[in-house]
Amino acid sequence: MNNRYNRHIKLKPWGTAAQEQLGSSHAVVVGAGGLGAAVLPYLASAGVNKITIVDYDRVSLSNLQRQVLYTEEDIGRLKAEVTAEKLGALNSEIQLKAITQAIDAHTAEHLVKEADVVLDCTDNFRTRYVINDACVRQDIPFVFGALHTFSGQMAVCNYKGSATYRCLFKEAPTNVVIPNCAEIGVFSPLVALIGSLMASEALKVLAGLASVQAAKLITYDLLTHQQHALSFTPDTARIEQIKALERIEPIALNDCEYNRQTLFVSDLKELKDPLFVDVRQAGEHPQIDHTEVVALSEGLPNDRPVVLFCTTGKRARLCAQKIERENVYYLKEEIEDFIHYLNQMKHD
Amino acid sequence: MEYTLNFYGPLSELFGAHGRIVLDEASTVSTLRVALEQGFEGLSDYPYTLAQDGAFKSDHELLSSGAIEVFPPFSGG
Repeated sequence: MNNRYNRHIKLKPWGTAAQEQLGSSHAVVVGAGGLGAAVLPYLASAGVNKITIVDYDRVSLSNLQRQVLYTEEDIGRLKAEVTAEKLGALNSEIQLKAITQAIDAHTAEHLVKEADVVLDCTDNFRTRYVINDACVRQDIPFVFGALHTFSGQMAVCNYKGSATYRCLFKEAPTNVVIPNCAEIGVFSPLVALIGSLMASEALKVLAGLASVQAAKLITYDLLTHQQHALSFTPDTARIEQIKALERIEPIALNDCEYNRQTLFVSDLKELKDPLFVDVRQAGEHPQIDHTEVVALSEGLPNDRPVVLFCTTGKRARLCAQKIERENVYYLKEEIEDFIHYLNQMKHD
Repeated sequence: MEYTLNFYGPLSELFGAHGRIVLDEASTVSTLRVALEQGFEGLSDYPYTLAQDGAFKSDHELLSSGAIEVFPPFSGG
């Protein structure tokens, strides 16, 4: 072993044995956004042997405020692929695999198979519950992190029989009730803090350290520096129920998922003469004054592609689903990214 | 029996960081939930868990008077 990992090996509860264990381990990281971009460099630089990065999203301008793994040159590219490239440059001794498809109830179990730890860095409950259930069924430790403006939560679940995410929050809430970062914003250093905590616990799990803080909800508020470490216990009946299912139950939520109608800003240049339709309520800000942008109330043309947009993509997606017609799409990305695109078009 | 409530995340935006509820007798998590949802309009729309003395409590557990932490799940990542 070369001296790349020397500073870890010198740590008293670490040593060569832990480093070797880490060097034969496999981490699956779902989500390469704020938390993922914070977690992944630490896993790679520490020498986790194999890292699978799962994300179907593309880098956008509004990501750069907190997703410091990316640069302006990466805008429009698939996050999983960009991340794999950058981590490969950081550590050429490890294996990296980028998966650019959405994870769902059908694919989750296959995806987490053979992982030694799974990290949930997503921004939606649909995926979090599906990954949790897949990990419960295969006895794989599950580290989750989640953010709300200036506050974050993280926990290690399902570690050596410990409680799972469902033991803490039984059922998936709707994303209509609990907003994500696109809707309410997020303080950028928070992703680094919670991401570091997640990476720390994941590395301890993979290296076989005894100090894993399983089944404790760790919370941190960066406005007040108030912290909690609150333990939670296994709901054994629920765990057995999940294990006994023939397959994982899909989570039906009204959140923003990827489907055939989904477009990213980087896809827009492929459309011929699109009309952009604002599905927000009248008076919502920011107002957009552009010849190719109309309000939904003005009706939809049949003879050209129509791209619905709103503030976050959620309302546009629901609206697009109701219009069962070819050539109707919705913009998944945030309105600031769309405005940036329109401004670029004006200059070109 | 008096409970001091500490709300977090979206719940603190709805109800403020702190609240208070007084019940006639000691409450389990289940009965406190019913009282909270009557006293704090809109709380029943949210999933949340209750913690006291450094641990989340299950539905049948009895809560002593004092501080109760009311945590919803967070979504952002």
